[in-house]
Amino acid sequence: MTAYDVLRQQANTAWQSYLRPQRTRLDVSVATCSHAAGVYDTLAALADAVRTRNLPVDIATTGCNGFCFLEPLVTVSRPDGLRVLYGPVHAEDVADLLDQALTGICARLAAGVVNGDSDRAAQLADHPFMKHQVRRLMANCGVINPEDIDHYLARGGYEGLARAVAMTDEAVIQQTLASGLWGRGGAAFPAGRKWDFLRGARNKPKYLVCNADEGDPGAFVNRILLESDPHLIIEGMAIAAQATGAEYGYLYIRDEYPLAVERCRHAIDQARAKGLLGANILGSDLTYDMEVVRGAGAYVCGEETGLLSSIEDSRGMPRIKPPFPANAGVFGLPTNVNNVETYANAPMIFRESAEWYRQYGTEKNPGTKMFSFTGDITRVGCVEVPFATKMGDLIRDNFGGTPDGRPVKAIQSGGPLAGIIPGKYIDLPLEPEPFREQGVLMGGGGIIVCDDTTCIVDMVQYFEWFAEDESCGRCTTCHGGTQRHVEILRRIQEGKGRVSDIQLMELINDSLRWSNCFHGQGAPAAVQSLLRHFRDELMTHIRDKRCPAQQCAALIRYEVVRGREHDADPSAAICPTNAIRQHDDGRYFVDDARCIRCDACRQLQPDVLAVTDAVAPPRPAGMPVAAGG
Amino acid sequence: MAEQASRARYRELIKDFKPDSGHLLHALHTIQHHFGYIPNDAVPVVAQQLGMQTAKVFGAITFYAEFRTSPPPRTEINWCSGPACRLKGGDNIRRAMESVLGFGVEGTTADGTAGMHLQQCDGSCEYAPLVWVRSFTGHADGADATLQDERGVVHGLLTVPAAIELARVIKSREGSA
Ligand SMILES: Cc1cc2nc3c(=O)[nH]c(=O)nc-3n(C[C@H](O)[C@H](O)[C@H](O)COP(=O)(O)O)c2cc1C
Ligand code: FES
Repeated sequence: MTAYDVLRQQANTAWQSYLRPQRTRLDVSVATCSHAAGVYDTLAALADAVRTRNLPVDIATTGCNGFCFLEPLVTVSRPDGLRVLYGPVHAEDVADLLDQALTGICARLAAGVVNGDSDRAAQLADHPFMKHQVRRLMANCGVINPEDIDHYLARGGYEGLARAVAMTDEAVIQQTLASGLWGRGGAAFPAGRKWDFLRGARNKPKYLVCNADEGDPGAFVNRILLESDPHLIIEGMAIAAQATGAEYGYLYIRDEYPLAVERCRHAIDQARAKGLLGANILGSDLTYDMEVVRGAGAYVCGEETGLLSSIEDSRGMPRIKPPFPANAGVFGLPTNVNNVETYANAPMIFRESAEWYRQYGTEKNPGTKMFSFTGDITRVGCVEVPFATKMGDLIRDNFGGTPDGRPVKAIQSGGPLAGIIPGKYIDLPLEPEPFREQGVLMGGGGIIVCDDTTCIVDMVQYFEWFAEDESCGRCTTCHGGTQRHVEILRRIQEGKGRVSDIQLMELINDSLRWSNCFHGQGAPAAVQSLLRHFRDELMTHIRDKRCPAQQCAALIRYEVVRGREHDADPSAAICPTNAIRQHDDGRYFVDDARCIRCDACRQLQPDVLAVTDAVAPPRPAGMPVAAGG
Repeated sequence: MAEQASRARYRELIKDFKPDSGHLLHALHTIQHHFGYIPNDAVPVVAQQLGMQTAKVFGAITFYAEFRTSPPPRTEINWCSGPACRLKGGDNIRRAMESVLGFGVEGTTADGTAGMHLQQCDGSCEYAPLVWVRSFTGHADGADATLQDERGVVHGLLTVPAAIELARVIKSREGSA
């Protein structure tokens, strides 16, 4: 028996008793998304109820399966083999769950049957959220205990590494190239070619870096893997080590993901204890080890050379390329940087084969990709789909469309530096080329859907503010250009826009392109989208001093609805600036000078308070607009 | 004496970190985890341990948004600046809370007991708009931090009225403004 077979056999035993426990087990999904949903309250309530009722059940943890909108999730595994997913299970639902799910089905909370059959609940695979999905990368997410390496092993984990260590470095590169795997971090560069650069580098030692900085706000695909299946990334990096001759790896995780840091550190220790990291892995010649580096809050550290600087005890400033990381990376030594999801694809390519890998996706874009969708959608979560799946199918079927069925006005993929497309492109196939054709990037997997209540000028101002705030400050084009964009956009939002601002923004965009790294080079994208796709809305702000979505604070006004002037007591009480005042006869009015347009009153009393445009209705058609005025 | 004691404590905390090994962030996190911030007099100790110039350590500390150079407030509202929260009125929530509290993002009360800090999205967007309320009494110099300590208690799906009530509770609890 090989070293791997021994590990696998032990693991299988553990896994079998996990699948069919001797007594019922409740696996609570503990992840960042369930934390937001109050999973600690659920856990406390569960522990309490189990103790006071003296129930013969165990409580364990699992990761997130992408159904973030149903967190806190609890999977009930019974001795008869039936496994059912429930959610959301808040503290107040625990009693119902324990009353019904231990012997039967708690229909009210059931999301779906994971294993076995029941006539009282549908199969999880038939849940609308599972439509279009192919779960390869996410196969273990929410299924295994991410803190137990045996679970990962029993599900075929480290089998890919076991095969790779029996191959030459060149053969590993060939198989990676044959799979067609390309980098998931944004630039879509073939992984096999990058690995080959490092393999060919002469200096030693060589390093691997995994980019888990996932800084694009609204994106959380990497986080799902880091928290829910950390060994997948470790195995992927170890395979890359076999391909490249790298001896050491850094897994750089952003500060905002403390649970991922903890789980990955734990997983690395476990892997080392089983001989899957360290000297002579699985009895082969491969020697490779790694550690986690926790970031400290800097978006630009996601840029690969910024990442290298940050690992090297320094400010996370992107460097000037060349030299490229393959020649001079961490500590000036040859280094390969890949995204989390890039490495995570490697294990299956070696456990199965390149042909198997290519069963999904397209010739050019083989395989699957994870996407997290947020914003104005009914269900927020993370899916895995073959490349070229229509984005609109996911938004409509999986994510339940917009909350009130409102039209999709805009879609933002690929982060703040990637641009925004209008809703009419909703059915773009999810692969890089169609997005590039529209002047935007598909990016790393975070997609934000905006309905027609969104002000695009405000969103663009937000993205430019983000770019300014996160600029490292090296290039004047970047830190100065983004700052000017923010100033101009804010001025437009204040009703002081000028027609000449358009030209000014185009000029700034032209100079931003000369920045050293893609942070500055990508910063024009949002403004470019505004000018190209949403010019009417921009001109309404500039010319008419009006925000069609009624979001820009300076362009709207609050007033008490006529006839309801005596009904505004609650609004007056909630108003943080005492702007809702009374005339001597008791009638309420909004003191415009004090009002900060926070919308509290209208949210509380939508029938009593109303929003209107701050300025008079648009000027009649044909009325001249002075340049610069 | 007190100063020497804390220096010894810093040294003890970071004794395993080595020069030229990419240990700076870990060392700084360790100090901050135990003290809630990175005290001024810890910087030369870190520099010495890692064989770096003090200025370089300072340079790194100030580069990152999450390293603190002064003690954190007892109660801190971490406001999510992310896009999903913004789409759902996150900026209205910020303005409303600021006017209740009397200070803005990155500000604190005069006595430093309550503060507000800008946070990036961590993908909890299903609860947007949200703030995390962090309490810095629990994990100073000691036990392992839980996710709850690290990220705070989430107040999600906030309406503006609910955010105002929350800010009012914090303001009255933390006393002077
Ligand atoms: C400002 C900026 C931020 C970036 N952030 C990330 C990130 O968070 N995660 C990531 O994988 N790549 C990020 N990238 C892309 C990386 O520079 C790099 O292309 C990527 O890590 C390479 O990995 P891949 O080939 O596997 O895609 C960022 C790039 C820029 C310019
Ligand atoms: S935008 Fe606030 S949690 Fe994602």
